[in-house]
Order: sequence, then structure tokens, then C-alpha cells
Amino acid sequence: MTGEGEFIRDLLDNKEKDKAFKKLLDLYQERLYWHIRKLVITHENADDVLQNTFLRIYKSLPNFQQKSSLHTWMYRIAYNESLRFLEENKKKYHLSLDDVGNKYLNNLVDDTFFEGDEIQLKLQRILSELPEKERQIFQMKYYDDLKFREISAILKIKEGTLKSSYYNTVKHIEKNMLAVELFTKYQV
Amino acid sequence: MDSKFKIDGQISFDSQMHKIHSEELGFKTPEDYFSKSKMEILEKVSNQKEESFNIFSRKRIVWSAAATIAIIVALTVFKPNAIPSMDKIPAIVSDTIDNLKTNGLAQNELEENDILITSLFISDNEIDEFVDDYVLEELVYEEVMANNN
Repeated sequence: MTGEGEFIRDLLDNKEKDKAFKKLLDLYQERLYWHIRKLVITHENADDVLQNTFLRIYKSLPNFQQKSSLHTWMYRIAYNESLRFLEENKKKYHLSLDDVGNKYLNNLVDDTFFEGDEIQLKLQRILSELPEKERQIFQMKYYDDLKFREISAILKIKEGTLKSSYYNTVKHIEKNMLAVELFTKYQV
Repeated sequence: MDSKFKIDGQISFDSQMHKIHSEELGFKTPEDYFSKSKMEILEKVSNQKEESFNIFSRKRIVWSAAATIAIIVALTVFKPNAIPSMDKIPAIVSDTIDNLKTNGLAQNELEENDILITSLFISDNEIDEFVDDYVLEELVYEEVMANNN
């Protein structure tokens, strides 16, 4: 196991940089992909954003000031790249806020790499109806397994606010998913 | 150190992530996606390195040419009797550039023969040394500023 400080030194060292970057890719490629995928929804878009994210990481490494952990810094870059992508799309297709939720679901259903059944689609529908920030907080905590302090550094939101948003969202999802399960059982 | 920063358990963490995203959210990826994507990313990074190296080289050539002209003009017009030494070249060049900016350069001040004779006193090595010592620092600074923006 390599310490983070030593690993960062390798990433900044001209001789070790390429080897260390490959290791960085091994460590973070999949988790950043899933983080991005939940934000941009389709596989094709997630693939584009993931590549841009790693290019940005590579370019920005010399400027990494180690004010946060490498882990949080990379998630922040991935998050910003995803938002940049979504913003460009919003402008490109002249979408209003209401349209964004609809587009979320349309993109999902149209994606060749979405194979959700009724329950998965329902969960996605509930997520798409949440305010953007609440959805992101829930996804970062529940699916990305990030700590509240890490989410706070990425989203620039106080930990207390994050916690209350997360627990409210969990309750909301549980309530709605329970309704779906009951409905499904009733149909059977 | 961040507890997440461990290779131990990396594979199981990734497969757990894959499982939860697939089972709960219905997200799938093409077969071998991650290994193919890794190759693409490394290729793009390598292309980017080459590209920035080329830009850097191009800028260096432009700076070398500019430095050569400035030194020749300086020694021909403003300091015709000076024999260039490395530590004086930057000052001579900057004086020349200032002079040219303020007064411009009258055509009759610069004779073709003078330029040729002066250029004989300046070796390629001296120009390279000047570019290495003073100009590269400027280029690196410019590159860092561009990346920050």
C-alpha cells in the first residue's frame, strides 16, 4: 500500500508520473464512472465525461494544492465536468427546469445500456422528481459511499444541511417505493 | 491518510459498485468497457502530452528567432562596438526592444552588411543559452497561467 503523500509525489514526478497515473486510473476509473453516470444518465455521455475528467485531472495535477484529499479533489473534478456537460446540453436544447426532469427519464429509457425493470424505473422516476441538489446528495451518499465531509467539500454545502437533506430523501424514497411494492403485490 | 485510498479491496469495492448500480438503478455497461476506456484515456493523455510539447517547441522556435534578431539588431545599431557576453545579452536585448518601441527603426540605420558581420560574432550556442535561461522561464510561466485559466 502506498501512502497518499508518496503517491501524489509520484504523480508530480516526471519520471514516475505515467506509472502513477495508470495506477490512479486503476483506482478511480470505475467509481468516477458511476458517479458521472448518475449525473449524466446515459452510458455514451458518461463515457465522454469520464474521458474529459481524466484529461482534466492529468492537466491539473501540477496545480493540485492538497487542500483536500486526492479522492475528494478527483470527485470534485468529475462533478464539475458533469455539470459543465449538462449545462452545455441545457443551452444546446434550450431546456427549462421542468424539461430537465423529463429529459432525465427520456434519456434513461432511450439508453441502450439501461435495462431496468418496473421497480428500477420507478426508483429512477422518484429520483428524477427530486430537486437536483437533493438527488445529487442522496446519490453521493447512498451509491457513491462518500462521507458527508467529502460531499460537503464537493458541493460546498454544510454537513448539517447535507445530513438533513439525505435523511428526508431516504424517507421520501422509502415511502414511495413501499407504495410501488404494495401496488405490485396487489396486481399479482 | 484517507481510508478509501487503498488498493486492498479495490476489486471487491468496484464489483460492489457495479452490482448496486446494475441491480438498483438498471445501469449497464458494454462488455470490457472499463479496460477499453482505460486504453482510450491513456492514449488521449499521451496525445495531449505530445500536443503540448509541440506547442512548446513551436513557441521556443519563435522565441529563438526573435531573440536572434533582437541581439543582432542590438549589436549592429545600438552597441556596434560591444562584444557580447552571456550575462549582458538580456540587458542588451531589453534595451534594444525598448529603443525600438520608443524610436522605431529607421531603415538607413540598419545596413545589410552590418547585420551579417554582427551575426558572425554570435554563435548558435549563445542564442540557445539565452533562450534556455531567460525565455523558457517565460514559456513555463505562460503555460501555467494558461492551465490555471
